[in-house]
Amino acid sequence: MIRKPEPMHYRTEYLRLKSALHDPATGLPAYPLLVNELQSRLDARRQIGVLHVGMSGLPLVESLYGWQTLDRILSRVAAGLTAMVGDVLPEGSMLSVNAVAGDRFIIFIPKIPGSLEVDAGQLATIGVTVAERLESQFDDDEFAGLNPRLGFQVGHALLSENPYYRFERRIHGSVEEARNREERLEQSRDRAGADELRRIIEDSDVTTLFHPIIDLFTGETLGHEALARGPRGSIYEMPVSMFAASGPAGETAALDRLCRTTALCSCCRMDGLGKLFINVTPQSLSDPEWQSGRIVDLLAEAALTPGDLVLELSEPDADQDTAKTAAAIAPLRSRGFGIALDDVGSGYASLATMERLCPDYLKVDGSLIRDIDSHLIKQEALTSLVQVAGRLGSAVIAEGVESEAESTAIRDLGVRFGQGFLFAAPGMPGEAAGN
Amino acid sequence: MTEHRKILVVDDQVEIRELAETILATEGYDLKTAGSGEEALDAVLGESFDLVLLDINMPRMSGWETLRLIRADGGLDDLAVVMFSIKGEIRDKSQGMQLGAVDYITKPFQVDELVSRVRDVFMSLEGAAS
Repeated sequence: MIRKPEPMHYRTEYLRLKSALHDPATGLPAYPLLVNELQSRLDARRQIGVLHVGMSGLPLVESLYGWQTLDRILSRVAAGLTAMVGDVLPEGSMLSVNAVAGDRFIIFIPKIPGSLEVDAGQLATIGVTVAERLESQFDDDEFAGLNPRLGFQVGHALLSENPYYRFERRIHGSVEEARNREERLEQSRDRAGADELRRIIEDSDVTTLFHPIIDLFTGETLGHEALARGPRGSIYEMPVSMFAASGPAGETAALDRLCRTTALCSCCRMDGLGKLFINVTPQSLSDPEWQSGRIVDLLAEAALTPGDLVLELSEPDADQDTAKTAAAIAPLRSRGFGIALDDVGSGYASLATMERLCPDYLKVDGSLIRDIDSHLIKQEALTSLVQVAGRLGSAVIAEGVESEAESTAIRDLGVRFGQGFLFAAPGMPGEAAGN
Repeated sequence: MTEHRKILVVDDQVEIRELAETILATEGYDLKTAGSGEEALDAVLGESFDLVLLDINMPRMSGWETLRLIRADGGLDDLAVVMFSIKGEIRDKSQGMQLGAVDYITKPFQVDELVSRVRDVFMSLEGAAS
């Protein structure tokens, strides 16, 4: 018996396919949707050029600023590439993404004006120009302050038909080849970056800024967070870029120690310091310096006691062992150090982690605070966090407070402390202290 | 204020549909209901609504999938969707934001709560439009 499908079924199925192949953030199709089009273009020529556009720093951007920002960046890249068609990119170039909610762009170039067939040399030249244009596009607008800086790399490959191969696999293969070429470019950049990082550590080329944490109810200063800065104007100015590069370079412990020592040495010149919040990576808690007397000596030189110091742990990734972190902080806590959990609310693992670590302070990520006054879902999420904090006996510190409205909203939701540009920008000792 | 505002309530439980319908119709909203994700899609593609209250846990097509498909249509980008769920989890809220929901109501809800959340959503939509 033949069953006639309901019209509604067709429509649902259609939307299901559309949602699987059209990327909402960029408005571009996923490249498998172009199979038929590519096949018909190859009827008239031997090969089609493939460019693979990748960006470095994206996972870090998403973890720091949230998926909304990454979506905006990707949609900006898509608009930039679209505007290049007919200019840098030859007329007839087809734009696509690697997948729905992907973060790489695939461009197919069937024809370059003035030549019979697309060749690899031309593609490489176009790729370089595309990368430069995209990079300059992010220089002079709302993303200028973004850190880490976005880096663009473009790799290329040629797509042709071969009767021995299924055509779809030829497409996947050429996209993969363009991607590999792009990744090799990125790796050579990374190697140069690792050398620069080692130089920074060797020369102690790090300074510390202090960012005050304010009691929202009394206006008093609870303390300051020490923020490390690499050489001004370099790609390593922001600590996240330094630490992201330190992992692959095997220098995380050394960098962590340098930042900590620099912070302790600079704060001794500071009046009205209050508690000193220092960022510590969970991995570096095993640094013997924490367990030995040396850290107390350093503190004593800065006229501080362990009770003045709060260790800010970034929220461990899902693959990191919370139990191990909890075991590592237990002896530190018994020496009198305070514990803060950083970036709360930006990940999923937070509840379990919070319970396990029972920190003295919960620092709520700025992405949750931004525009919270007009954002009901964020208010709900923060309310839940405040309740959890209450049960754990932790004080809540909201990061990234930038407006009076945000400050009022979070205070009304029961948040005691705030940190952000509304109160002060991170400053050098002397600038940031007191008044 | 509330006249002509059209709301679609989507839930597989008839009690919830009727409860929400009664409460919101009393407030002067125009109400329609749907008992599944498929019915909801059919409704929003057939006529225009100002707001959809969408249950997450439904058999066959979940609220998430329904929302994803609504967003895939392309013609419904301005349609406000509020999710219903029995769990008040942050993870659910985050998922809702990613798929383009504007707010979240935890079941079971109180009469006042439902009314005020719906009112808030319309107010913030007006605020965003002006």
